[in-house]
Amino acid sequence: MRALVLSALAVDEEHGAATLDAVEATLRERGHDVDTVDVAAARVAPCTGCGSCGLKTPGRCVVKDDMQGIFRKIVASDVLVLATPLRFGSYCAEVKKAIDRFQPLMLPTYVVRNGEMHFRGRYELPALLGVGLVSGVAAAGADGDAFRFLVGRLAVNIDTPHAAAVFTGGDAGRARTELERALDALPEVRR
Amino acid sequence: MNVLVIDGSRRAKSNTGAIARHVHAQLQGLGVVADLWRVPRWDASADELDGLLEKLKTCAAVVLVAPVYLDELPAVTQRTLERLYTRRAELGDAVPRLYGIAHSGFPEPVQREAELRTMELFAGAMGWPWQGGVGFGGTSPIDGRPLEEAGMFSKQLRACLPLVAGDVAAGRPFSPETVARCDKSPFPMPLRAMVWIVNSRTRKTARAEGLDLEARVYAGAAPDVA
Repeated sequence: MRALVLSALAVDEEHGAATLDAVEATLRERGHDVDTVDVAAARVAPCTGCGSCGLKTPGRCVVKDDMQGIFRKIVASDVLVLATPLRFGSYCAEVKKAIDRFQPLMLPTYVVRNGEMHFRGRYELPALLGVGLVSGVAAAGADGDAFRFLVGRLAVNIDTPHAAAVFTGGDAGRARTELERALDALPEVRR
Repeated sequence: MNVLVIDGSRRAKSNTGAIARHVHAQLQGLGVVADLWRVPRWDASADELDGLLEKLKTCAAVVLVAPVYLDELPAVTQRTLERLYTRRAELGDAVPRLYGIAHSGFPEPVQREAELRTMELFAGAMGWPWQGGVGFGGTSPIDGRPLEEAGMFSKQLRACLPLVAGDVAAGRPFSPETVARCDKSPFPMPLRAMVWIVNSRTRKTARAEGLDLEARVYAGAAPDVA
């Protein structure tokens, strides 16, 4: 089982490193080979919305940066972990910059899923685990609820099972408990 | 009353820009002193945010217009909000009211819900009164044209944005009627019929140009990444 962690936890200088350690350790204990990409440090340009990956170069992003390799890693993974400090209940901008580039993973045709219009999938994508670190600007309750909802919405978009773990920095025990609970909620990857 | 309309897109010819300009014009038509500001590039210097901070010090309300990328704000817009939060002390006593407008190619309001909630939580973090958010679906065919030139594709926007501007100009939260009118699907037919028509057109274009629409170019070995 392969787990790809797209992390911007490093932008939280106080609790980011310890949180990433907890994420990686929990995944390894479950038998995953863990590959982590620090998307805040990687060369990832913002999506320009050029639309090329739809009908000009189908399935291929024309921006030549580290996303080319990240796309391959995503497609080859069993679990995709989005690990982010929470910002107003959302991913931080560094993680969102990578997510905005996901369009080549979808087809330019549509499907009705859950009664909603969505892009049809191009690949069978990995199960999605959102990890939200509450610190600084975030208020645990409202921001956590918003983040869980958001991860669920992304899962609907890319048509994959999902779970989310949200916890406050500095509480390693709680972090591990939340991560275990979230992974238990992903039946496809439970060991 | 001064109102700042923020164009939350970096695309050169964007539907967000078209909507923001239309709202701006509507407000001016109502006698409101309105200004228009576009989010800066990802790597914008601190100086480029200085102008926004100066405008925010004098405005009574902000209207944030943004596209929906996978149910959320585009990264550049999210980054602008984060940078603004970091520099919030520079705003002194300024507490503008915040209104949100989210738009998407998809018709369902649930696809805009998370983005509007992010705007609301941003307002809360800033200590700004949240005045509500409205959403519009089915905006893709506008293709960046001024709304007046987009015909039937912008019909609902042109009908609803006067309500939006009216609420902003009156200094009141978006009314339930405004929110409900904006949320209505602009598609003139059942969703499955719409999907079938659009897909047929896309596949026809691909066949004519010899494109393999379903190419899986990222399948295979995963290389190392920084």
